[in-house]
Amino acid sequence: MTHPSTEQLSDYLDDELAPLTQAEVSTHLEGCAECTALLGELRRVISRANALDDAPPRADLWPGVAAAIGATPARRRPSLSWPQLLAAGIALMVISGGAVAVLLRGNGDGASRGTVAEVPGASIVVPVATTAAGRGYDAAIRSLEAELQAGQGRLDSATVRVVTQKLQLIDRAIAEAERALATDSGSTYLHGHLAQTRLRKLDLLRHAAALTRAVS
Amino acid sequence: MLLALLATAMLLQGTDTTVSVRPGTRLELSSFEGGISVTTWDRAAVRIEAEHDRDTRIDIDQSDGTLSLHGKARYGPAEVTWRLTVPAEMALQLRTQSGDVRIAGTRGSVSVETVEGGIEIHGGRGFVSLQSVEGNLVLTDAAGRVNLATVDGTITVRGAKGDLRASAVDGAILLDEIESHNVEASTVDGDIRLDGTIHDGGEYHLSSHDGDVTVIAPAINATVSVSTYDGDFESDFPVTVGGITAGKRMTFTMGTGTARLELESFDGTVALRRSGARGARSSDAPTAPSRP
Repeated sequence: MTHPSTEQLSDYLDDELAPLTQAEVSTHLEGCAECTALLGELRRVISRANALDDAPPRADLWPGVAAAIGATPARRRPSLSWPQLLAAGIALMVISGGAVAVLLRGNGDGASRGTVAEVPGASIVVPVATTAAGRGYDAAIRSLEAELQAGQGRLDSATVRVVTQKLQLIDRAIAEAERALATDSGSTYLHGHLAQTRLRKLDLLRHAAALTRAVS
Repeated sequence: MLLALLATAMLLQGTDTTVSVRPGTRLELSSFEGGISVTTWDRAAVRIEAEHDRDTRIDIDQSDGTLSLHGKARYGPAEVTWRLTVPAEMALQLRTQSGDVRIAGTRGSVSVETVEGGIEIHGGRGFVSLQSVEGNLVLTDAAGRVNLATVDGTITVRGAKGDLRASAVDGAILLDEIESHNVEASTVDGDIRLDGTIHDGGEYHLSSHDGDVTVIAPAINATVSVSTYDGDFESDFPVTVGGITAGKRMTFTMGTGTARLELESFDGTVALRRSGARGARSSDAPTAPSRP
């Protein structure tokens, strides 16, 4: 099979793919270092999110109720989809320190484990990845762009044109989101939106690069 | 143990053969250029009609519960136009580089991938996955988990039941008569419309960068989050806004608030429309697959 999409990998982790597709992805992963690495990133993001404590609403009555009945906190299940979660992670990887400061709260061990950020409205806590992870995203983009450049001769010219145009479309959307963030750095919506759009570029590049390999 | 049947047909202008299959057999078809049309019948057999030139052969292989079809040309990529008749319950996995794909009447799982070409499916059960780079996607009367993605094209879904994901880069996403507890739809450049029932406890996330996002429903009991940077918000329903945060993000509760509705448009209008209200539906979808 061609490289699974990020969503497919997410569903694979959740065991939510159709049985046959699950098996195909599993087989693919055995021979694809790139997808295995991405799967690892997904696992790390969700693992760290799961490891974090809940961030209850300030007016939450549950702690008092729980204390009264002797309950232990329930394990939180992230309420964002995998792609959203990854996107939020990427967003927080790449945004500048000044913008991050608006969102961050310390966890007491930020130097070694990273810090966490609340995403209002999403009711979850997502990890802020390291600078290295941000560089990893940029490196992945450059790598895939280079692979696409090298392999585009194997694709139909119309396909190359469409992919190029749509990458430019996404780049314009990214630029618009970045400009909006420059004027409103505290907007969690804009941070998440920028992350989603960047993730979409990553997905399109991966898909296009996979197409060049499929026809080689 | 491998049970295999290998049949190779070399005809002057095409192939027409019928292969018996056991219940549960799935179909895999890999094609380079040419359209694929699939209809269904009640027989435990697959009829394979393929138009191709004399230098192309059709390989038919049946093993391990899979019937595999492949066109091979002596020189260069094969160009084959396929017409298949399959058991209605048969799982289908079709791939083509260039060409439209149409499937009618299937009650099995469906996976279709194209690079250049539209996809039109009527039916589909269990898991339905349609992916194209350059082509419109049209899906009607599917039930199960639906996953749709195109880079350049419109996604149209009508009458789907079950979890639904739709993603486009440049194209609208039009979801009508939807019965789902879980809908995710996102596009960079295009409108998104969800017309259907907002179920209690359901989760609905619609996001466009440059396009309007519209939800059409008879009633909405949901905690609603609306986010926009340079757009507007409109509602046919009475709405009391509980909080507005930076970046034009607002949240409010409608009715019992048991569903979750997240609506985002960077640069367009987010609207909640009551079913039947004038102007509730602003555009119609294409009815046949075609390249945009």
